[in-house]
Amino acid sequence: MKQTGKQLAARIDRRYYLGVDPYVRMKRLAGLGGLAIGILYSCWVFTGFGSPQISSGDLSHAHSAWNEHGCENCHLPNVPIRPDAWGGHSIKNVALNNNQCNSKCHSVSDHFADRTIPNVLATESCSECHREHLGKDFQLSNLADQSCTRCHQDVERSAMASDQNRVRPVYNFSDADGHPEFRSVKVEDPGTIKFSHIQHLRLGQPKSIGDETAKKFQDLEADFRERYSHGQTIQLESLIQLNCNDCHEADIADFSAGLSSEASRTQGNQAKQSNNHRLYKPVSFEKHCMACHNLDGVPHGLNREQTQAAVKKLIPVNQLDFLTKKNQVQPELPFNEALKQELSERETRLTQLLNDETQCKKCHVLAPSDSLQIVQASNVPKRWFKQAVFSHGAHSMVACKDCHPQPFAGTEGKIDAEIESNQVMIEGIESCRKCHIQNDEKRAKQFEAGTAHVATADCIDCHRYHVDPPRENRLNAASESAGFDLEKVRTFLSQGVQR
Amino acid sequence: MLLGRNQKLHCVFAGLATLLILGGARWYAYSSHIAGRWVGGGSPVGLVLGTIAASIIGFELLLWPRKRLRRKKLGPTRIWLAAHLWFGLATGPLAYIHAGYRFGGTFTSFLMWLLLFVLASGVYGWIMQIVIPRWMLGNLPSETITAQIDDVLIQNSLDARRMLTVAYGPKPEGLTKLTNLNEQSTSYKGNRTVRDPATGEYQQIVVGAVQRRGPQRGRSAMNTIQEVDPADARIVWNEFAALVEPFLLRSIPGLLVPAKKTEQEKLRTRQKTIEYFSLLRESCSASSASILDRLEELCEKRHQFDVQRKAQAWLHSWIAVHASASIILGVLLLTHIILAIRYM
Repeated sequence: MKQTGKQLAARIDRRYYLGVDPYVRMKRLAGLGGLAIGILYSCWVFTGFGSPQISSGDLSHAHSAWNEHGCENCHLPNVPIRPDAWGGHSIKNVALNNNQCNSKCHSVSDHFADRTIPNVLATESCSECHREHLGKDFQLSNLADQSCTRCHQDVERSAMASDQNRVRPVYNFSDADGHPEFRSVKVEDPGTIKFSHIQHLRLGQPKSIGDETAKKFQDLEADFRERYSHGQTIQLESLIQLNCNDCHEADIADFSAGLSSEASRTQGNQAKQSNNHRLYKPVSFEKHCMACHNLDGVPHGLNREQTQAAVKKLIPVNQLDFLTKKNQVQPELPFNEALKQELSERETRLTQLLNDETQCKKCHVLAPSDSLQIVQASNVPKRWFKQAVFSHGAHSMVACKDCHPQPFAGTEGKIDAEIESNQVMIEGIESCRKCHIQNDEKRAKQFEAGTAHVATADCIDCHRYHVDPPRENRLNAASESAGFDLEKVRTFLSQGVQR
Repeated sequence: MLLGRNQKLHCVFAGLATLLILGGARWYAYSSHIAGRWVGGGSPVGLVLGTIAASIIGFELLLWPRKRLRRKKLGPTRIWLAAHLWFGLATGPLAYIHAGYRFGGTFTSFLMWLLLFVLASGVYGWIMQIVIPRWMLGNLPSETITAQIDDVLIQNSLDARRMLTVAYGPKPEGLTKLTNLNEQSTSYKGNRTVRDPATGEYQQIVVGAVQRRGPQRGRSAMNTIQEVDPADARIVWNEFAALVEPFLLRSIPGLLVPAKKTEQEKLRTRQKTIEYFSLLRESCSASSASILDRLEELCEKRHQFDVQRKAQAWLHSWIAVHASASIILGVLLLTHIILAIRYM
């Protein structure tokens, strides 16, 4: 018996699609589960327990103790920490955040606040230059040049009107017009010491080549001969060769020791590289000059009255010593006569020294005759680069003459110490650019070529930002310019500071 | 959705996504060069790219509710899907650039990994939806509606019973009990075919549903059952009750199928099924061949249905994972936006 089509079709329930497909059911359940998980996790993150999760990355080593708990040490709730953050940039917000950092741990100084437009400084945030959350090994002090040039390339925007003529824009170090010439080397030497480096670095220190007045070891007292031998065997007839370290002593001990004359003049000593050695000590007459420039026992550095008293003390002769010497030099002359002659000569010489001041005038500029001081203050700067931090130790692989070529000029003929003294014997920016190369590719090529030392040319290699007194003063300026209540800010911060 | 079709549409969206990524990367590189360092998510470029990526993620999530709003005519599904695929892929690079090529802290790292997981699951699903349907088309000719597999198997089992009843008469006593099935259709009592001695013609018995729509459209399958050797009745019924029907009905929810596991091994694979029915044909007369062929066909269908189920699982189960991860991503994205604004 056949079934009709309708009967056969009736065997199948065609409303199957009205039911929920198991996969669709599974998808819906999974979706609801995902929603629940997401909401729960988000709620946990917003609570104090989950707040460490919010961190955008590990803190640097100095702040790593706050990786888990301590966001409030730098962050204020709902206040951006950087001025370039969208949606929250204002002087007040950034200033609040700045103090959040400073009042707790860092009492940092400002950057020429008296020369910078207050609003510009007030909008500066620690985090704008010192980027955190970049991992434990990240150096907070490792700043990009952009941190500096964003103000320094547009001095009109940042410098006070009175300072704009003085401050030149800076874009980078390597380009010819990217960084101005060092101001410190463009001026005349303010020092009043008449000294010829060229003469002193000649063999025997003659005024002109072949001069018979060239100094030999036999001309020195025995105590000084060893010092200027530089480890060589002393031959009395040999001429004395000075090198830079004989007068310029490093500001840390043992830095110059072991440097041979040739090494210090031409090669430097890379093994001694150290950032601790920055400058050189001032030249001392007793240590560095007296070996050759004898004042007949008169102490150096005394004023007029002191020198007169010292001279008077030196006139009397030690008769026993004189007897020995007289028998050696003038055996035929009676003792009394010889002594009288000696006293006379000595008095004449020392008086001449005092009155004529020939010896003083040799190296110094005399003070007015009515002043207590015999000579003017030496005025030799201890540090030449006022706005930059220069470390000689970091440059120990560089020979002295690479940056100070003038003393090694070795010109023939007579030397005019007065003219030479007015020179600032430091090369300008071009000498730095030989090694300090900004472009990474060029630097790598030079390194591979091995023709010269190479170094980076970042702003922070030489310059520092925090040079002013502490920041509280700046907040005052900011509050005045921004017009918000400083007292309320202080109250708020003091509440936040309490842990 | 197959990539082979709508290539022009995919090219358009792929091109847009590529332009978006390249443009964002170029802008970011320029900004970082100006700043002298890799800029972060709070910088202008970081914020713009982050906003774009978040907007795309929001658009991706709208695909699900869109299904509920089909009547609103929100645009062709293929366009939505193409945009979903290519813009979705673009979110990965955009988010990575937005973050300054860093994963950041715990929360942001989790968010980034979650995004990557969502992208990976989406790509997996995309591949599945290209590969599996084609494979099924070629390898599962008996494919049916997955949700109806159990019903079809029940119907097949009932049809087989009718066929055997018509051919051999009712099930002999003493054999394995048949599974208790509820006949949902009108009862049908098949008759045995008889040969009309006068005309010599056989009465035809229709087994299975016949579709007749319009002028003889559709497929009709009619098996003619000829005179069979009654001696085969016991053998065939026994094998059907003990092995074939339990195999057809195994794992159907709500049915108690009397079957021994050791017996089921005989039909576990296609090869074993072929061997089993070869042996059974040798045990029966040649007249039972068509019956046995039909039973073997049903077993083959069962095999195909099993494979179809697995294929459907591969094809559709990923969506639960993808949907769940996407929802979590959406919620955490909102959290990230709030936190970023708070601490920017």
